Amino acid sequence: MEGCFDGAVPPVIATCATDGMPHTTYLSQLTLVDDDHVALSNQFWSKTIANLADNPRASVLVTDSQTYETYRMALCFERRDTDGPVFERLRVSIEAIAKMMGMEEIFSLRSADVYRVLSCDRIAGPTQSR
Amino acid sequence: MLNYGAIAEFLDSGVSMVGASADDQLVPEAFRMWGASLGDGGVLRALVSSDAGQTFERMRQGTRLCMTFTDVLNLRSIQVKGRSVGAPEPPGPADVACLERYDEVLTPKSRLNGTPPALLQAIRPRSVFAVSIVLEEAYDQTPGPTAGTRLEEEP
Repeated sequence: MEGCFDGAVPPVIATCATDGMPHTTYLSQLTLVDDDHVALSNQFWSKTIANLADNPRASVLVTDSQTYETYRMALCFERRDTDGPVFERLRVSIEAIAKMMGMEEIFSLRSADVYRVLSCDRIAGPTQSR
Repeated sequence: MLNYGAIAEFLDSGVSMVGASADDQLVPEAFRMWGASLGDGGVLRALVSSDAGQTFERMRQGTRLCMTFTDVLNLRSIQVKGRSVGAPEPPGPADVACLERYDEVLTPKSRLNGTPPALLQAIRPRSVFAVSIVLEEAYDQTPGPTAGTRLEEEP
């Protein structure tokens, strides 16, 4: 799943408010923290953050840029890093993506949001027959 | 009232389509869609990838869904939220036509932003189910300072 963490294909995150209404948006990058955790780039989220404050559960779709396999991850938000090694790793990568797209000011990293991975299921890929 | 015409036009312009539902414990499930159309009265019919098994199982009249549509070239994005009019349905002839139209518009536009054709084929759902929601809210989701603002309604 190395290609899931290079920022080449934007992942999707869904969260849910306490009134039951879901919310979904793209993010720039997912990065691997350890065997049980991933970090997601938070650049311009407001509703997503508001939802996570009351309900830490999230669902993420991520596609491997090398194999084109897609995974759905069930996540539980744990903490928000605004400095430290995970934040720096994401910041450097996001800056590169932003420069490529000419969106440096819009794409600056606010935080690296760290989640525990509850499950990860392959849901699509090029090996499926049609 | 929401500007249905503007939203419908945007859906037909070659946009990526993703959405989500949530269960009674507020656990969300993200999914991809492959084609959508907005009809009279603000009912949006979308074709959800069949791998969204939890969404398929829990959908009934009144189930809340969100859907985000993003132009693959300029990243202009709209998120709509609403409630399902009923249970999911198998795709009919009109849905198949919608899916084919979506392929025809999205494929060349994706090539312009460098998306490899093999990647587009890999994420294209093998099968879909149809959901219809009544739109209740719509937001500008374009990355930047206006993200999250409600779309202007028709005067």
